[in-house]
Amino acid sequence: MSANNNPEREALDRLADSLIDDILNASDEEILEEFREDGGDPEQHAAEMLALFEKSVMTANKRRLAEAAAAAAVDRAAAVSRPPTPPIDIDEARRRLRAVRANPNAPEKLTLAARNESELSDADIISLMEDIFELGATPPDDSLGTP
Amino acid sequence: MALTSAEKLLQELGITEPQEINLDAIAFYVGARVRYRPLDGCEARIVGYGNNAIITVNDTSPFRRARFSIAHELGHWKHHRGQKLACRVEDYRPRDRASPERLADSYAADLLMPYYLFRPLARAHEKLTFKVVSTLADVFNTSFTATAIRLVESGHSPALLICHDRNGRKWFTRAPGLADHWFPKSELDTASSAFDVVYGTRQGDSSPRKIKADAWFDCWEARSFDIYEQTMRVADGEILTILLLTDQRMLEERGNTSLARYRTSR
Repeated sequence: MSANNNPEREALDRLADSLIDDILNASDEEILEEFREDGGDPEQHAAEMLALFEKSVMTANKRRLAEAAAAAAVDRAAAVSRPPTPPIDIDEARRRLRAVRANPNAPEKLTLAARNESELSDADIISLMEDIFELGATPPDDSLGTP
Repeated sequence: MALTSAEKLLQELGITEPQEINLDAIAFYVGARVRYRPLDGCEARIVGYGNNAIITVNDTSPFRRARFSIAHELGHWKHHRGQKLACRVEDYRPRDRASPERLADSYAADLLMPYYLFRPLARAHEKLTFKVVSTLADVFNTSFTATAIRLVESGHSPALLICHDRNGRKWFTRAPGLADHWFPKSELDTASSAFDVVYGTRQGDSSPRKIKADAWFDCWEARSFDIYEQTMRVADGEILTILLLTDQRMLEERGNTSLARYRTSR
């Protein structure tokens, strides 16, 4: 049965609309005065509502941190069990890294903050290339900017 | 006081206690995974592609050093995304010139010792001493030197923090608002406790001791005042000295100050 066929429901809807209009048309002072007449303390109530709001925000924010901590722990475990990457030719890896540094057209999507290639050991170069591979920043499109 | 970008991130994650500053979790939240593995040529690095990154930290680094390195790399991730930098994570110290490393260092300090948590805990201690530095370093899991710099720069007291080795002054910093003419001499005065520590075997002062200000400053007003000095030996042949300017007259601006001759490090 639709609301249009229910006179009692229609009456209730009109009453609700009227109450809402009353509230929306009332000034702030009128609302506060009405609250006081009912025995309320507007300032105390506002403080309580603000505290409740802040507590809700804080709870949600702390949940974000907890979720991130859990996800980071899962990622650490997955990194340990990841299969070894295929062997990387060290000369090729050094050449690619130099190309990234030297090429102003290297993709802007790539971020790198590390020592210069000449200061890094072979092991550091290889682990750096493994990171780059893992992030998907390598061929098929040769996106490191190799000349 | 307005929050820095690092402090806003901490608040977004609901961090209200220093113990909650979980850097692996914070990094993950901003798209960076932290890996601990051997590194020969540096303490840490970051490589990113798009909005995902991997921060690698030397797995032999001491815990607090590793925390600073991660926070430093997160500074690069925040400020230098899409750039290729020659990064050198070094011990935290005041840096003279604006640079990517300085920006990353500042971000790290804000992330590890956010003022909204640091200042209230610092204010619980009446006097600025190395004992307070040590206490706060333990609370925030930060290095002694980084914490000392933060404490002085937080404006807790009218103070300077100076680092020397046998070659002279390496760097210094001072509380905000302290007049520029209170500029420490580059060489140590034989009357100072710091001289005994850097050239002798003493480890430092257990508490601040009174000394004539002209032992530390060569401006003409210095001879009129007493200050308090506390020195402590830190790693690698370096010493740190806190100078407390307790005489209110030293905190007043003088009229005819020439700032041009001052430099912030040797």
